[in-house]
Amino acid sequence: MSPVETCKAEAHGCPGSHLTCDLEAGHAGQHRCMISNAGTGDLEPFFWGEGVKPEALLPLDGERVVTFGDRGITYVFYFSRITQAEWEHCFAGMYLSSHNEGKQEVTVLDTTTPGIELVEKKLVKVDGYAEGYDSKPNWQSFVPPRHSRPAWQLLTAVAPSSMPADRFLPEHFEAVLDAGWGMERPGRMAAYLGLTHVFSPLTAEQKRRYSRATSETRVIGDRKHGRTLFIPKQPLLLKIYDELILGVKGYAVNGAPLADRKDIIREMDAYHKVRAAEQLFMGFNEDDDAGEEAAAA
Amino acid sequence: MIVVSQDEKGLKGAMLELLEQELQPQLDADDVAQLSDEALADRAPANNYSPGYFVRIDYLLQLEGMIAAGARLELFADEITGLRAIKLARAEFAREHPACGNCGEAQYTRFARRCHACSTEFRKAG
Repeated sequence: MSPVETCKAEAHGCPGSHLTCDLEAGHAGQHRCMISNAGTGDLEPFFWGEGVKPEALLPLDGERVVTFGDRGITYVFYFSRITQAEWEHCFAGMYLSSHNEGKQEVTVLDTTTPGIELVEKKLVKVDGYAEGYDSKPNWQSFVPPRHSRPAWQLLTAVAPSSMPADRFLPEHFEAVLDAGWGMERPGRMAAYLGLTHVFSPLTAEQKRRYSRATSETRVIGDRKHGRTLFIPKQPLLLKIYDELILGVKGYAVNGAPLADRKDIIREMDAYHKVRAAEQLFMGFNEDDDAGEEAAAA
Repeated sequence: MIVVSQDEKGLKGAMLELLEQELQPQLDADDVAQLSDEALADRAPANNYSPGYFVRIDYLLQLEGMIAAGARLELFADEITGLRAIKLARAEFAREHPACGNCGEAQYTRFARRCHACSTEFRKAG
């Protein structure tokens, strides 16, 4: 095995910039990822991309599980299926602002607050806590932030794929994702690589709609010292996804591959829709590559 | 709360600020290589408008480019507002920084007696 190299999450498709990653045995090998959790201490590593066969289908309607370790204990969080409406509510709560401090432009991004809210809302069972923990009323709100935060990070473990790309074809565009979804066993997340979303080409009208939407801002305070609030662009990305999607590879519902366009629009996880639709616009604006989380917001 | 896309005065001011910044002498590659990141940051002009204004101007300039290239677009009211703000800012900038009749370079002030780029002497009007 080749020595462990340190890689940048964006470059190799780790699930988002909130995770740091060591890459073993080249790009096709295992990704060993550590949840970086400043302020609460590092948690134990989970393995990304190990043991998943390329032909495995991601079960969109299966049990939604995340797992991680902390101080010698392995935790498993079980969620009910997250609907598009619930994702949309979560996106609406995300906060991205920017203001000037002297010559510096300071950007504030908070995706975690609505994320933790979603975790608490959808959590149905946990393993790893004292017996009877999840039988008390309103127990979800007692999950410590040092656990709800990584649970949120793992629910959103989706990134542009590290798999070798096919050549571009003029008549359609393929967005390819890698995603953490479910577990191989407690303490070890499962990953699905090369999840493909095939789109019709963007129209000029859609490009303009996107540019227009990303330039829509509000300023709180005065023009010069005020704080710019950016309007979440996920609702528009969801619309454009539904308008352009032709097919997907790698996803299943009821054990069968997801094939029909109407089924895709209805069944696809909204977070995956957003991350796939984002790729339609990558490079469209000069600053598109400035940070995975900013892109997600 | 200010809706940036509808704030003509703010967009005009921010565009004027961008034009003024462009007029400042630019560092060449050798200067940049010799300066530390901190020194470069010190030399960067401060933006006096909240960042959303510049994001919107970027979009409006793209839109203006599409129109100039002949694209037939139906414009929203706030886009017309924004495009007008850009036009007004350019006009004000041209008044304050008239172009040299010889080389076309904008002057630092309208009271300049000699072009800073090609050294052409200016004559007093009248």
